[in-house]
Amino acid sequence: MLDVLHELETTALAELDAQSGSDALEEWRISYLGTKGKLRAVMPLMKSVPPDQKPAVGKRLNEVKTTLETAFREKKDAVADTAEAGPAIDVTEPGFPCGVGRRHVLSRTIDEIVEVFARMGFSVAYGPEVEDEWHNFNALNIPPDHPAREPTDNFYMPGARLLRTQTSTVQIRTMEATQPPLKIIAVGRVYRPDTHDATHFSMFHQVEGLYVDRRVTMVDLKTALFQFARAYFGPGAEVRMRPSFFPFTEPSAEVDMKMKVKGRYQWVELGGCGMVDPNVFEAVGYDPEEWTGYAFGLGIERIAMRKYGIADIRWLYENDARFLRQF
Amino acid sequence: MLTSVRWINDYLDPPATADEQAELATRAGFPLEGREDIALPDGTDVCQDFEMTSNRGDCVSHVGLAREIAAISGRHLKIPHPAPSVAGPPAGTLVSVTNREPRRCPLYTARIIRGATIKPSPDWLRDRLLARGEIPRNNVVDATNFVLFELGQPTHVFDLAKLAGPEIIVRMADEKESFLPLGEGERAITLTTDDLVIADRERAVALAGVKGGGLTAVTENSTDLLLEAATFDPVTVRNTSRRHGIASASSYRFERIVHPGQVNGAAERLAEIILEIAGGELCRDVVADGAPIPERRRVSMRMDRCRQLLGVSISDEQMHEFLDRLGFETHPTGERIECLVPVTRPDIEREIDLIEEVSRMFGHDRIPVEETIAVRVAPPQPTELARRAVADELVGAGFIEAVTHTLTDENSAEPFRPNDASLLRVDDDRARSSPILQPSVLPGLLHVRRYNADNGVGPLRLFESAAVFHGHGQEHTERIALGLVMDAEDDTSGLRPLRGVVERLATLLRGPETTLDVRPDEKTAWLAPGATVELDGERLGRIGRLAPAVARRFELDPSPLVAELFVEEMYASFPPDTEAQPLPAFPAIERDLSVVVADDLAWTDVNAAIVGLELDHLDAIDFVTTFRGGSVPAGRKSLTLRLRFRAPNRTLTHEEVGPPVTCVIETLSSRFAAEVRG
Repeated sequence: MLDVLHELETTALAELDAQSGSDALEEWRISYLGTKGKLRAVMPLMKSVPPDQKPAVGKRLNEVKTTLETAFREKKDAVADTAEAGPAIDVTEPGFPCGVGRRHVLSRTIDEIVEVFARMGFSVAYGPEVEDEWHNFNALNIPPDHPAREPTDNFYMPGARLLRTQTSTVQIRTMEATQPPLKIIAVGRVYRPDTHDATHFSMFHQVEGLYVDRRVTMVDLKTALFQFARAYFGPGAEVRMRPSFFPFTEPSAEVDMKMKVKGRYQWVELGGCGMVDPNVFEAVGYDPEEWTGYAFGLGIERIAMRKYGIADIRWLYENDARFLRQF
Repeated sequence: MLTSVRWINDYLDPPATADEQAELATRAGFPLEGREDIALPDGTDVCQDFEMTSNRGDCVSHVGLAREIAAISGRHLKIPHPAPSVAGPPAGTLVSVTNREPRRCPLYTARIIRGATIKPSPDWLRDRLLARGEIPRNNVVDATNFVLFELGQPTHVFDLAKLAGPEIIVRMADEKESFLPLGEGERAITLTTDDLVIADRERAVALAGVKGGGLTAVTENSTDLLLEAATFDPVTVRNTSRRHGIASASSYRFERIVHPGQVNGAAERLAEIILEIAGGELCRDVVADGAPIPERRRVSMRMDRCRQLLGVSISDEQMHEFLDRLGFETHPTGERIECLVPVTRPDIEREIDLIEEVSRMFGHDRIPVEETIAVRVAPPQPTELARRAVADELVGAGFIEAVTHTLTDENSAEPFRPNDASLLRVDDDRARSSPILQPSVLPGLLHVRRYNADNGVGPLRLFESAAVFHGHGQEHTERIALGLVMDAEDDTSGLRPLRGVVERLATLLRGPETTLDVRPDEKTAWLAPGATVELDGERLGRIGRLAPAVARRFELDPSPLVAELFVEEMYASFPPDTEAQPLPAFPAIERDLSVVVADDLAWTDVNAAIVGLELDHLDAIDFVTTFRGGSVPAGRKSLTLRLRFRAPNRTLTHEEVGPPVTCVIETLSSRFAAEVRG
């Protein structure tokens, strides 16, 4: 009986090995493992096995059955793998374009900058783009006769309104509505009637920070700008402040940051900053003896243009999809 | 301000190189904007251009910049102390001065020099002017220019013989009074009663603070001179300068405030130089008229306040030294420094102004930065989170973000003006072609679509989020709108591709349970067809296909799908509460149903009719497709929908869903005359 089983196993495996088509495989399965197959056919021989050998022979019978079944499954999978591979694939063909869109490089820059300041505890504030003279000028310590109010420098509208020339208006609105301490960053569009050329556009974007608390100092201001520069432009970034003049801050300074341009760190003028002028605090009803604060404003276009080597500001506003997809 | 390095060094001990001057001036707040080597007969000079701030008129002069450089570097400042010798009769016997406008002209002074000889300037004077790129004229005119750029005091010299009277009257111009400005080829201009003039007995002879007159100018034959030194109201000067389009070095300087206290010193300097280089004799006395000269301002600073605001420890002695070097006469009084402000510094009025002077002299570059920063963690801002989530979602859906100008042209704006609102516009000639504040974010996006089409770029999906403006009489509204523009994909999809995007945004903002209500809207003329979109009962905006007439304005064919949504107003509640739902445990049975109905039957009505039946185990009603033509008669369409049935606790049998499907068919037949297709 054991010899019969051994021969059956050897023959079956050899035949299985010789099959290649799935139909032939199925025939093999029926021939050996089917209900009328050769394995079943040897079972009646069990009757003639002496009782003391029955357990060993029974075990051997099961082994052969398992071996043939396993060999059949493996062979079947192997044949299927070959069949399912389908036509040949050229792995060097180019990919399909991915159907996603793109943020505008300015929005992306704004989000990145806001993100850094958010980590420093600034909240984002917004305000209207059509402003009144109080918020755009008076409250910012720009008196009625100041040259900044010249029609040549502003888009005025009927009813003593104008398109805001700076996002500092949001500082005023926030301070009017909130008691200190506060730490905000205002982002948005501002407008000046410049003739359009490679570096001027009559609309651009600013991000302005304002921090008001007890005992805020120039050291805090420079530190915030320095920390921003490091976080945004990289570990080699530095900050330089040069004395300057703005009506709404005193002391005032221009801010230069050393940033990576074409792989090299260079100084770039990025905006203005200073300690909030006491007159501004008085305009919004804060006590300038109790509260001090700093403010800064950075030009988004300038940052994006230097960071990405954009040579002409008008490219940002043409919105050619081929340009926008570069970022 | 163009400067000569040599000229600044006339006042510095020890002198400074061009690089040193540039670096020190930049540290003081006057950054270098340009530099040019100037070849002069006796060597070279360097012309350096420094950027000025509007508050520091005093530094529009070589002495002013030299003072800053000296103060910041510890150099000694050498200032000229003019003492011209006088001879001749009292000037008052030769000329009279009447100042009728002491508010606009706080001080007018006249000095007389007789017997001068007009000729070319000596080399030292020519060199100084040439270094600044000025063309030397004659010794007297050159002397006024020298004083202007040495001390920052504009002056003027009249030919006394040409002044009617001789008399000087400071007055407002008469309406339409004629004035001939100095200069070759100049034509007479017509003044207004808002212009301040210097007149003789008969006519205007100078536009005060702006320009001298051609009829009384010094020529090579002049001998007797009237030296004018005065100060004028900055606003009056600025207005006249702008009104007549005449900007001069004088007007630039007067617009930045000249204190009456500095006028006489500069006039003495001018007289001294003219005597030296043109000869003649200076008559005794000064003929002057004006308001009382204000006393020098006293301002005090608390030294602790200064240290506290700057955040650096500067000693009391250092603060004194800084302010002394800038020419402030300081007096220590306990906790404070009392300062007597020089007349050249009208910008110093308050304690904070002195603190700024200390910080400039200390040096902003010496202010330390700290390695750490104290943070009060800000609470989350739903609006910010939503804004980014919406943008990210749109980018994922293939939309490219555009940023377009808020100002647009009338032709582009008008179709998007709501019936009950006006267009807002700016009053500015330079915005003539695009003076309208966009009433919708779509015109800008449509121009972008057109611009890309011109460049062969497409198909495109575009979005922009920006403020839109509607006028209501003298009032206006400003809201943030989200605009979507999408090229139609094919003829049969209708609005569905864009609606799918809007539905996704709705789900993003309000969660999966939200209901978006889209209803036909025939009132919006820029859409054909158009629909209003409501989210949980709140008006979200509009969606549709751009009306062909509007598409033609933007030269777009075929019309794109567009939407304008006021999603920002729903950002405050972002993100929606999300609660996970278990997935169904038992399989569903689906039945497709194709019915022929009237062409204009809305899906929403079909959907509502089936929902209204409240059928047992009905899990979903899905729109599959519509089909027109073929065997479907004209005026009708074939609508295929899919009904899904599911029980929460067992597997349904096919027999169980038979009756409800029949019920749906009967309802559609009776309500909408629907016929089931084979």
